[in-house]
Amino acid sequence: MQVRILLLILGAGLTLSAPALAEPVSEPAGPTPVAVEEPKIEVHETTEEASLLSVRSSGFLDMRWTGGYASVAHLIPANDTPHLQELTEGNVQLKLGWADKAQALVDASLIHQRAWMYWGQGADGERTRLADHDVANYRPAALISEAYGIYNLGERLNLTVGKKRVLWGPGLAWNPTDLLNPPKDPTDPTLQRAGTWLARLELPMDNWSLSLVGAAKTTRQFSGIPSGLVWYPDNQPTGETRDERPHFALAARLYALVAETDLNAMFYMTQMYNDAFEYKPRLGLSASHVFWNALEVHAEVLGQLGSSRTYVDGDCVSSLGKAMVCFSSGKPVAGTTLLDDDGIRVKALAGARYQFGENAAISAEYFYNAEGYNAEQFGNFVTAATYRQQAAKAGVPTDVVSKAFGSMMPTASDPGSPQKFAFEPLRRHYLFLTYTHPQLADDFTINTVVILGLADGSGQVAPQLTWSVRSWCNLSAGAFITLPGLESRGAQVGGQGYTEYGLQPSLGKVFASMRVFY
Amino acid sequence: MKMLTSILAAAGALLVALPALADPTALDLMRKYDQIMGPENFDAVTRMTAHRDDGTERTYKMQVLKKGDDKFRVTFREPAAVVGQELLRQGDNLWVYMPNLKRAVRLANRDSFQGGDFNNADVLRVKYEADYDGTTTADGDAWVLELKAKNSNASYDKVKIWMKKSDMLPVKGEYYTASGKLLRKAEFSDVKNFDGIVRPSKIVMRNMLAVQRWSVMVWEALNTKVNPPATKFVLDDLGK
Repeated sequence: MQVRILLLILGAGLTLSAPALAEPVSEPAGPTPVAVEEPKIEVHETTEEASLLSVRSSGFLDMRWTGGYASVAHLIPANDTPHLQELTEGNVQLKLGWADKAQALVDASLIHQRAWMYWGQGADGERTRLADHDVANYRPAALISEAYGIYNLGERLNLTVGKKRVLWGPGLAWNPTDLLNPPKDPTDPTLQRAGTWLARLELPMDNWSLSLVGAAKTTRQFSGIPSGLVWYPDNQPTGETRDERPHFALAARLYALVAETDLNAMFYMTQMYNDAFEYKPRLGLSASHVFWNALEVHAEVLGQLGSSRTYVDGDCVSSLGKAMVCFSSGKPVAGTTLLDDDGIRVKALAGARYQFGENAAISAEYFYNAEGYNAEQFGNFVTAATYRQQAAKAGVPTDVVSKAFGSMMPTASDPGSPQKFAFEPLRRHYLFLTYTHPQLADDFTINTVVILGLADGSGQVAPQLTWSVRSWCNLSAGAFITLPGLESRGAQVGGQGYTEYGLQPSLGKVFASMRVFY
Repeated sequence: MKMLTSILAAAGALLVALPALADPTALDLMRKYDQIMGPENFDAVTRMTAHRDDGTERTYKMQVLKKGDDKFRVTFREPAAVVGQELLRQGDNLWVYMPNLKRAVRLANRDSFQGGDFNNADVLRVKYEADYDGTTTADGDAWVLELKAKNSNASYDKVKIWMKKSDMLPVKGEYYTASGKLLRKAEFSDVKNFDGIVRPSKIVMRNMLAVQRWSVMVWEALNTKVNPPATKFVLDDLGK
């Protein structure tokens, strides 16, 4: 009887032990596993390929109403700055997948917008209501943010062709190493979807990747639909500035994950792509790392020789008389005079993002722009702008003024994208501050962005409150407030101080929007 | 002789069986927990509902892909406002891909998962053996596995998990700060057999700092017979 009981116990023990002994051999060695009944885990290689075409779609309908006030006394004319604006965007994002072989994605929007209430300076210099008029930035448009296909040439090699946003730098508000995409709106991440037309070959490994990109500049587009890439089309619409040269960018990027740090090394060769440089090589580096599980620190640097910035000839603006001499002799007051300069110029951004317990985060980023104007160059720029304004008031034809002064303002905005704010740095030192607190009282998100020009204290503050009324509906309200800065730290021209953000006509805007997701 | 052979056989069998009858070590329990709650490879569909202070709730449906010990990828399928958002963990590195930005940024492990009461590591770092040292005690029908963080990547400083003695399945958990403050409580229930993996399919996580809040994670599907390609877990694949 005792033997029978003993055998029963032994039998039970053996039965319980068996599955533990049958665990996969890959299980690390250690103490004998506890003898309990465990489910058998079978691991199989995936041998069957999914043959079905997968389709996923999403999108949103966004309606935004904006009201603002523009000063007509500032150096940049207010004539084309509306005081009321309405924008409706219908967006669809379609993702197609063909097993693991290929994918296609389209992110496209139809945008209807209208703008009203323009003011400018009258003949007497007073604030005068202008008739509502057509401004290119406020026309209805189709916007193809992305439309591309990816074909997997092998397990570790894929080819992307189409329009895609490719971004490698870790900067949050600004990416000095991003030479491919339309510029981002640092105050609103939700409008940074547009990419560029490109072909990309990518070799993604576990801890490093190699990307080779050829990008084409959109030389002409109508309502957001491109009709010319790389070269200008043969037919020339009235008023278009064109040339016979190609416009493209080549880029190579090596990414590596080293010591839990994202590292990127980038090489660019641009040919009249987003600036006036021809066959210009540039190098970029970036890094991002999280410290103490809460603090993300990042940096990105772009180095180049020369500058594509338009600089004002100081001699031509030393007096009105000398400006007249330059003007009459056909010598440009402003031009891209440092294109072939041998001086090394660096654009660098360094910043940190601290994440609080409730998903709130604050970030601070410093941006150094070696292409920006120093105090003297900014003074020359402002002086030229005042002369330009005086020439226009005196009735000098626009084309003559343009020929004399050139394109003084950086023109980096994407005409196909309804940006709320365009950041085009004129000076050298900037600070970006961002505070985000999602799930505030569960359904509210506060987001505030401050852009501060450190040279004169001028900048922009953009607070925004979003209420997630339903999981499919957000209501937002926000403002863009111009910080005039310290005129005493600005350019002193004609006894008046001018700060960078004090040049722009807009003193402030408020907006309300509703976005419905589907 | 026959008697002696029987005794020797029985003694041999007893030697084999004894470890099985012994109390499990903390390492045994950790491995068991890791094995059923975070199998080596899987492709799963989960649904997380966050119950908020005001009595309302928000539900997120996501696809979770895991490869090996340290590669996770979560893709949000619902609601529409977060469709396309992705989380990627590779080792101690965590990124979030935001479709509106068309890019990924680095995250910290301690962030709450989609504003719910799970944190990112609860969902994306199910490998207690790698992050904790443990001890065991008995509590009625359950073993109590007490864990202390052994590296800075552990999401909690101290964890207690109750696992049933009968089937070694987790039934509840408590998660503490270094000072001993109770942060969260978990309840594991609705045991299901996912094609051979028997495990709780429902985890209720209660926020002890805001007791009106809790989140429920339900595993709707779990397929462990997959071996996802490594290229699914690289930064450049996010958004594809």
